[in-house]
Amino acid sequence: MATTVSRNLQSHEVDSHLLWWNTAERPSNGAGTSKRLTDLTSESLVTGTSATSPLGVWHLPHILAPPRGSVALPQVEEVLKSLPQMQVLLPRGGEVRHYLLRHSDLCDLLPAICLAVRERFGTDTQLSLEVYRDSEIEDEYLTLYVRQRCYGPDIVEAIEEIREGYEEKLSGRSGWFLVTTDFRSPR
Amino acid sequence: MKRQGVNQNMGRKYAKPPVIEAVCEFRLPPSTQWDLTIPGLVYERVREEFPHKEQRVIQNIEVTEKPDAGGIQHKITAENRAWFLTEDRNTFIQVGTRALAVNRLSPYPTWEEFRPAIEKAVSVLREVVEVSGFQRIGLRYINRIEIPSPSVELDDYFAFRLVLGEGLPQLMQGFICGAVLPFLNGRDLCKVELTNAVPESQLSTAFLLDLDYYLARPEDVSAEGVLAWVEEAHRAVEDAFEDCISDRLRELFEEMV
Repeated sequence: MATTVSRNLQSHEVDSHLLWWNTAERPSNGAGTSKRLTDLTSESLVTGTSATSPLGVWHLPHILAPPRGSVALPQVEEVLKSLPQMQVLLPRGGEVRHYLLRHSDLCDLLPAICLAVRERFGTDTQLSLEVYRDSEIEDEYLTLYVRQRCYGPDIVEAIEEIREGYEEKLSGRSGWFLVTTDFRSPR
Repeated sequence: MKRQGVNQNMGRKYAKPPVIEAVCEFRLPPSTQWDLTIPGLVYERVREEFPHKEQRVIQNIEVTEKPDAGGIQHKITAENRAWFLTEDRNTFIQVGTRALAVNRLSPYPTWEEFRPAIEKAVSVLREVVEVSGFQRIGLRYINRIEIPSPSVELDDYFAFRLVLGEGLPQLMQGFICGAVLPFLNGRDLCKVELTNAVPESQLSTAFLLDLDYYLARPEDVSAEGVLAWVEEAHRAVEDAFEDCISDRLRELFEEMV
């Protein structure tokens, strides 16, 4: 059974190294004071019980947490799988995959930012995730294009507000992610 | 009966190899002396080939039995890792606490071109750390296979696949199938997993074929024997891969004869 809980679980204090689940207590219980997980965003919190697991398993699919394991691909594929659910187009998915494999430390941020953009602009706006390449310098980065049939006067301001919400989190990451518009019509 | 440890396929070459990520990982036993200077010492010795350095935090998931908590408890631990990347970011070395991994992303060259990076990383590790043995060694190949058809019959392309009983719906929305296969009398194990993946086009179907070959009996490989193990592992993974696919896939990969 999947239960949708509040979208933004703010500032859960957890022990600096551990995040417990599958216990009778919520992850925030038994916390230390050394680290704070902020903006814990969960699209759905799955609780399941069965004969073999009576306490159930808590699963936080969009936890803003670091990547897992020694391989980059699984988390990249997870991110790419999550995008259609937010109606984010991937016109050249291979390029996006290629970029994310080399900058997999963006994977934990991407779904939450895309979700925030979708929620801000609604379902009539087209979102397209692409790799932008600067033809004059050797630079490329991920870009989420916001495209509308008819652009309102406040779109730039709205995009800047969204950027302010995430740009600090990009600091120290190996790649870059930009939300912008090219004022083109939706494809 | 096929002899294990013999490269049956003599290293087939493909113009479009499906490997999207290959990784060779080494984990040292808890008794290994380790400190925070070690990643830096490794970087000093590899920086010429791996000039870019970054820090990442990865999650490790541990599953333990906790009878008083209802059976099984999952624990996520965060681990800091240093990443050292080549200029093109296609190959990188990861150094974590008692852990070393060498990754190669697509375009995957050849084993002859990937192996030196592994040899270098292991050699450098042994220069800076007293390595008496390994807790785990693994060689993993993840293949991404895109077939230009909106629906496919799995048995046309794969020899490792799901079989559905006649009474079940034959059209699948998604699937995972896997097995853990023993090699060399159980010294090694290979986890083979086939799943569907997100295709790049609505006109195609995509799969991930993941082969993770690893040492099951750590006491059987010494520090001196580790590179020989890696070489054997590669031969075994190559054979296993070929035994999972059909000639129709080989055509897609454009086998070079």
